Amino acid sequence: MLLLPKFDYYEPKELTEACRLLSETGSKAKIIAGGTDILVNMKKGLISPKVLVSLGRISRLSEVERMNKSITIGSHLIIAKLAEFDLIRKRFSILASAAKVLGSPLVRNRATIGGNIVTARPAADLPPVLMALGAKVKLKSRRSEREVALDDFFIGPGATVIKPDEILTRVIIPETPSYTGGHYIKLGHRKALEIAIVAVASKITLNKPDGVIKDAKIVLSAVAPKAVHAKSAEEVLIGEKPSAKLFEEAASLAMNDCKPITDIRGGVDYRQAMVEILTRRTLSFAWKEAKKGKKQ
Amino acid sequence: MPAVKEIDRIDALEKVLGATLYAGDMYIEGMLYGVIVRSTRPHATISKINIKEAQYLEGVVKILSCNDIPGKKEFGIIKKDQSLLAEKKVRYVGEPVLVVVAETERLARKAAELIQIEYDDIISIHDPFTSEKAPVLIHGSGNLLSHRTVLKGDVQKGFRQSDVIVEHTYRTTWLDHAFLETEAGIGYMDNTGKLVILTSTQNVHYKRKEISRILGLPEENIRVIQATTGGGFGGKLDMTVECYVALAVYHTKKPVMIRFTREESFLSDTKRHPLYIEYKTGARRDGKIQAVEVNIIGDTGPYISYGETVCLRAAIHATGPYEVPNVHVDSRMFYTNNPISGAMRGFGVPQIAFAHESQMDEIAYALKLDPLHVRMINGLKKGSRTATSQILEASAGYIETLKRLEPYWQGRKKLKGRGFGLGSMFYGIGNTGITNPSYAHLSIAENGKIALHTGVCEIGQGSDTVLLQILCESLGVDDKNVELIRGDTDTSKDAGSTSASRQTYISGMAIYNASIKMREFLDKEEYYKGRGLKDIFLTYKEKGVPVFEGFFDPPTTALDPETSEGKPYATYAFATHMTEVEVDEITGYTKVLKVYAAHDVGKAINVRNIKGQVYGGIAMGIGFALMEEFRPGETHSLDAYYIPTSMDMPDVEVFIIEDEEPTGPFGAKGVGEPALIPQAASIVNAIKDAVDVRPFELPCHIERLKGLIESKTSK
Ligand SMILES: Cc1cc2nc3c(=O)[nH]c(=O)nc-3n(C[C@H](O)[C@H](O)[C@H](O)COP(=O)(O)OP(=O)(O)OC[C@H]3O[C@@H](n4cnc5c(N)ncnc54)[C@H](O)[C@@H]3O)c2cc1C
Repeated sequence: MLLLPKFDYYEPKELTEACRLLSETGSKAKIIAGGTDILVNMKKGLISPKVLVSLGRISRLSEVERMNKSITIGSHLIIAKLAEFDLIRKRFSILASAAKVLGSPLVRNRATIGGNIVTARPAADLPPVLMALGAKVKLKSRRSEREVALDDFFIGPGATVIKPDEILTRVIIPETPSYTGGHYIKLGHRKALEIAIVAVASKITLNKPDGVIKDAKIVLSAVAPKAVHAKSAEEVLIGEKPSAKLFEEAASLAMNDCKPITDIRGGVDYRQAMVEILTRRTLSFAWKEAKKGKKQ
Repeated sequence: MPAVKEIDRIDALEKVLGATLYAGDMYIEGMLYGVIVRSTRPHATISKINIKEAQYLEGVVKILSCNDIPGKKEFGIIKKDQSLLAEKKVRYVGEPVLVVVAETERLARKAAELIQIEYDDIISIHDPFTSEKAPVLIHGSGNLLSHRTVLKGDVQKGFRQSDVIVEHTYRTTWLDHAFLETEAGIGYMDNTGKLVILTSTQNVHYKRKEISRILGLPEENIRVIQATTGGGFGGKLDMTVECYVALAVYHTKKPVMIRFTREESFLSDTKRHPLYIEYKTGARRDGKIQAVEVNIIGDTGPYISYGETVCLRAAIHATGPYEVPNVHVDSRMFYTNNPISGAMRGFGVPQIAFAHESQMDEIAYALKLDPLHVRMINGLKKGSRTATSQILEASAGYIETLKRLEPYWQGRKKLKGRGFGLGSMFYGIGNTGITNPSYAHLSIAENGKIALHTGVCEIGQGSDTVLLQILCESLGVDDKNVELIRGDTDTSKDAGSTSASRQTYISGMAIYNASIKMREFLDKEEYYKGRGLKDIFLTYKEKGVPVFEGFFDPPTTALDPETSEGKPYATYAFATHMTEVEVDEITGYTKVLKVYAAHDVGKAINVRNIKGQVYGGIAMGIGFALMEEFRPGETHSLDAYYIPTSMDMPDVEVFIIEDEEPTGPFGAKGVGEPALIPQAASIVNAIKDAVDVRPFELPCHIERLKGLIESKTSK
């Protein structure tokens, strides 16, 4: 058993108090949400914050709310819940399906949506689907509050634009228009507790059931230092009528939109080849779903 | 023989409730913690050790080196070739050099990090193929550890008689046992001055011998008790923490605990031997095998551990459960500076089964025969002569395993992307061609219960329950009237290791043997007429309650050093698994859908335990076939070592065949390793059936299989 280094621990009841603690303790403090990532890193001796500020007792951070044209999810919502909310399952099914394949029940019962974003692992499960959904995050510090599109949030492995005194409070996802469908596929050696070898999230919106593609998002995971849009693939889809041939073209473009590396989980060539396969498969599925129709 | 009355697993409830305490959970007031400082080099001489900074850290009690070993400095389960703490030379990354003992575990780890060891590197050997001719010797005696041969008939003649010959090379890699509980032990001096070690182990008596040697103390001064053990699979047969704990207690006179992190476990735990297997089979047009020629090259790492055992066992089992008239097997095990390979569920047989079962299918394909039929006409049965020329006298239920699966096999419906495969095996129960006895004894305890004393280590497989059942059945008593006292060198005699699927058969028989004697006594004392055990106890309290000794050593013979002719095992288990898989041709992902597992266990003492072993064996076989791969220097934790999860488990149907073994308790043999052995082979054959490519290297993981499929289509 690896041992944790020593640290001070706070459980503020108010967000403002959490912000105050962060700003006063400076870079020695860190937020702890579910702890599934930070505690592992602390045990391994990779980081050793002197202060941990828990978000666990701040009530409004675990809620899912419907706003006028979007829903917002409190950053402290655990992954297991994410897959349970009717609203999420129906409206943002790709988010629910990514949540279902994250880790194992033990991890899903502790890990939070905020933690999964801020950890910024290149193979994390939620960032690609959230990016495909066009999500933004709300960052709050003692003195300010800002919104950042998830597309602009990640810098590289473990690195994001969040400042040491900022807390990610909410994830905001715009309502999806009618005739939108999406799909997420994570490829790995086994059915659970798997860090993706490659994962792809796709989402398309049609102008009408048998119409053309109005909007397309394809996000590739585990094939670059951070989740990336397959830009050229997205572009080629817009304004076109979906077809197997079109998806093949997009898929082969997607292959060149990423820069995978070889590591213990997989080789460059395999990863690149799988980007093509998963892109095609997710698009076909998304199309089927999009044709189904209008949003309630 | 009567059926044996089943009882619930005696450890189940406590474990399910999470109440069971393991060695690493123990706490003794004032205890110290030990941490082992290990080599970071694969092959080097130690030029300098600087412990100053660590030594003066407050709370560091002792830093022990090889100079602090009072007795013999080497240990080893088969031969004493491994330094407890390196003296001048290190031969693998992870070799123990020092032990830091401190007041807290945190401090001990910190101190260990502060120690600087300087090395002069020596050329290191990482490939068994270059090992023999390498310019450096890992030990004085040359880099070939062992070379065994199995010879029967005339293979050249056999190949001349053959209508078809298939020849391929198979490869496997290192695997880690990945037991749930990592290695741990705690030691202290008891109030009689005895050194007590409580440890997670598969063999208490062996551990006591090693500690006695290392400390130069008589065995009577040492007591080894088995802590509840969370899995072994062969990885807790070798000495893990015991001697280090003992040495630290010896020097500090205080309780000491050592428990490995998962990372240390991965670094130091012995691995499954990677084997390279060249295999040539010749058969007549009707499918009858005429000759088998096999060349096995193994990598044992720098120390022997079970290297010789695996070398020999793989050779003896190379022909699988088939009667082959002409056999030539060469098996060589080489030293390298890779991790130490040792015992792991099956001692080389799962690797060789992958080869012989692939070959059987290839023969069937080449001759356009049904793979089940080819197995059937070649299968070992009563009266068959094995590759070591042993005549099987009884309990040879192999053909029955095939017959039991035949309806499913013939009724299989192949859907697109899916395939079915068979895998068969035979496995010699107990140690190979050497004496491997077990002792047990029975008495009546003061509380009026029958006391069963056995040295058998329960490692999760269920031996406690099975041994109790054997006793209750043969003695005609209820399990409520029995007290099990086990796994403690002070209260039991040596039962040998919990390995080689031997405890139900050998220790079960030793207990049976003791209970026959006790039964006579109880009969005389009118127990069966209703007299109470307490009453009998009181009659004998003064003059001493008699003790009934039981003993069994399976009848084997030593093998001929050149041909391996002889009787290596008294009995064999047989099994066939039929597996259905679904392969995604585009990604290379294989899902195991269903396994039908037929096992000849001699006699099922506890059906649920057998099923438990088979389920676990299948899970491990899926890992071996599809995902597990320990890469030295790259695999540090479970983060990148994939073992199957419950989500990867297929549906399993178990068929138990009872071809009774006359020398076993109620006819029982063993099933622990047989449960695993045929599984990977059956998956590989199912993959071939599904996508028409044959994996020759394990694990056949997603990317490797994709590569195979691709090279087929590009041809
Ligand atoms: C066994 C295991 C399996 C895993 N499997 C997967 C998997 O399949 N897929 C996957 O994507 N990940 C996986 N992970 C990684 C990890 O669990 C996730 O990234 C998880 O979502 C992190 O969330 P958390 O709430 O536990 O974060 P924590 O560990 O509490 O925090 C992670 C980091 O984010 C910061 N942080 C957390 N919340 C906030 C916030 N609101 N504002 C600012 N900073 C914050 C923390 O300071 C810390 O630096 C796995 C981890 C383990 C241990």
